[in-house]
Amino acid sequence: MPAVCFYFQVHQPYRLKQYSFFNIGNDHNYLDERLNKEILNKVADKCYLPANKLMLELIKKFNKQFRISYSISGIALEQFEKYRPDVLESFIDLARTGCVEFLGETYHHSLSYLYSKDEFVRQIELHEKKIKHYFNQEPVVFRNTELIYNNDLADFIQKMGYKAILCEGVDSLLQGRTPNQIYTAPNNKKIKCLLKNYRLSDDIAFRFSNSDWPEYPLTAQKFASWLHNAGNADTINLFMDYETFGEHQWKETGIFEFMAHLPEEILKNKDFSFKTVGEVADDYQSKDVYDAHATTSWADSERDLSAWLSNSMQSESLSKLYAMEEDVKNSGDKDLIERWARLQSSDLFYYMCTKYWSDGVVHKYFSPYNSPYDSYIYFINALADLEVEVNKHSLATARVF
Amino acid sequence: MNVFKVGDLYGDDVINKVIEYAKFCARLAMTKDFDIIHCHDWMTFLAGIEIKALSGKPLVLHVHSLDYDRGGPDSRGWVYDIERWGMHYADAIIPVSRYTGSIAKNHYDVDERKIYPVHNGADPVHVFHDTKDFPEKLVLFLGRVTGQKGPEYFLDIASKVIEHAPNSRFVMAGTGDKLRGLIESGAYRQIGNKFHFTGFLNKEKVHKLLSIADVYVMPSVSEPFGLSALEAAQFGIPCVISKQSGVSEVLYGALKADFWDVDKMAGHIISLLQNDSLRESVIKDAFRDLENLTWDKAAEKVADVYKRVL
Repeated sequence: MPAVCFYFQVHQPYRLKQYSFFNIGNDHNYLDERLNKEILNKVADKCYLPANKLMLELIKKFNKQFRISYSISGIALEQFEKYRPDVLESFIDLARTGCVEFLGETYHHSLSYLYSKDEFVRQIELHEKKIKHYFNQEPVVFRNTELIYNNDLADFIQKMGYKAILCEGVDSLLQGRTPNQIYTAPNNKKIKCLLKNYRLSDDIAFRFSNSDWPEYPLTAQKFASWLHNAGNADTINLFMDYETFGEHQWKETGIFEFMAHLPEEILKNKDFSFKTVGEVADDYQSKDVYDAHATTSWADSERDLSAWLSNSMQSESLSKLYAMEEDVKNSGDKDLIERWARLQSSDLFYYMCTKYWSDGVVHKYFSPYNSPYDSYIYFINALADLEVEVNKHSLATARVF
Repeated sequence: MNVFKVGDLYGDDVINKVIEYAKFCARLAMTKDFDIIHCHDWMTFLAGIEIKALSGKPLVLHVHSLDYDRGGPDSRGWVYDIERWGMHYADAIIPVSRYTGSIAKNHYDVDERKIYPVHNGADPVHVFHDTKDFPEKLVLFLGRVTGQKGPEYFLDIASKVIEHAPNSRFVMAGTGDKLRGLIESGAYRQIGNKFHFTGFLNKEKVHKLLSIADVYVMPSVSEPFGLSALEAAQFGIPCVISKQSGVSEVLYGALKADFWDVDKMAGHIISLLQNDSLRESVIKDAFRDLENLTWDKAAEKVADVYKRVL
């Protein structure tokens, strides 16, 4: 009895302003509020509101048989609160149906797992609180930023109380095995690993509107037939950015019509059902071990950390940022801690990526800046300002004692 | 004149523009009465050569920069050829420094007896002082980020200074073909939070930087003069400059080193940052130098050269 498991990632970063050397020491607001508001409004109108409306209709139409999962970053939720409470309301409406599950993740959509376990835990707990507050759910399934994953993370997350974790179904680790079943980690058999079926996911997320693709145009009927013929599957995990609907794939491509017809086509085969991530973890046993010694992710063709950590600008920015953790936290200044945390969003390092070729196009699409070099300069200048502030704080404290 | 109004003035077809300019000037010159032909740099040398050939009047070439400075000793293209031809054909060469005169002599085989260096003057500037918004001392590089200006040396120097004097911050203001490589290199050295790139800056921003800088560094590999150092000196900023610069011949109130001598350059900067009496005396000496560096004085020297060739 195969399940189809949709998980949508909802995230909007805090983009930094064009923070120059001349701002250091006198401008402590690093965010481009105008740009962030503008983008959020655009995506709210093109994607979040129409997509949420569609999902709500589908849940009602199929009498709760249509079930989906979301992970919404803390900073996306903050921006909804600030700029578009109507979007937040529409997610709350979805939560009330009982057919929608919310995952746990790092509040700031950060790479903290790679640099500081303390900060990682702090952000997960912050995010849990926020999810509880708005959706009255306690997340039981975890997704790390950009599906960054390895065995140690699986173990760490299980010990934090999560029953399952999402990850990319990387070919080299699957070694010919199907991603359509539950796996577990070699070092912790209690955790269940839900692997993204990247071929089927990317057929929707990336290839849907590509007229050069031999399968173009993709219809709901065709896609459902692929699922029906997926062989001996427990769960087919379709993981993607929620912005696929209306933003990456524009309304004109027919993406909303595709989604509107998909559940009906899938449910034509009575063996099939929709399940949320937690339900998949409850209903199926893990059948094999997925051994991720090295760290993987869902980004770029490499499926590794190179989108955020492959040049000197990225590694300096990240190491300097996390080297400040102790001083920032010791300051006890909430505002400083918040400004520091906001510089952790993985997107800021993604914009600094200098890998070109096919993935460079994707990086450029997502970046608000002219070049990776500009992205780095704005970041490192902002960090210099934060450092000046933190040093002031340490000096003041030193004088007191 | 339309040819000069289309496209990029220094685009791929610059050679055609130089030739057109020479033709145009030659025709124009034949309608005028004049005694001396005075040209500035290679863009106008061809016109000067043409006019001298037609009129027989003495040719004076003012040299602000040579292909050698911009492209190094291996640069031997058509610009070099025009420069060489022009300087050999001219009656007098006025380089902006003895340093540039020696390049004309050594790399272009120009007869040194017709080389008359005249140093530039300093334009009066509105000098003001501002306060920094951060506690560190500020060390400044202003100029194109190209090989000629030695930006890589500045980064090397900065790494060394930051290591020994962490209470310092560096700014590289300007843009050029070396910029991206240097940004990555700065990050690789883990000094990006202390070494800032501003890109191209307008005059107002440049003056803002000068109003807060503690030390000015000009590590040029080959600098015919280096007016920016004079401007920094006018702002009361002590300068550390390369010996391979024209301005080092007239600015006694400055600390000097070979452009490649990173340790010595770094040592000079650290001394200026930490030793107030040294700092004061360098600034005082530079102000005295500036009194002699006026355009009037430069003009008198140029007039003397005219007298020689007439």
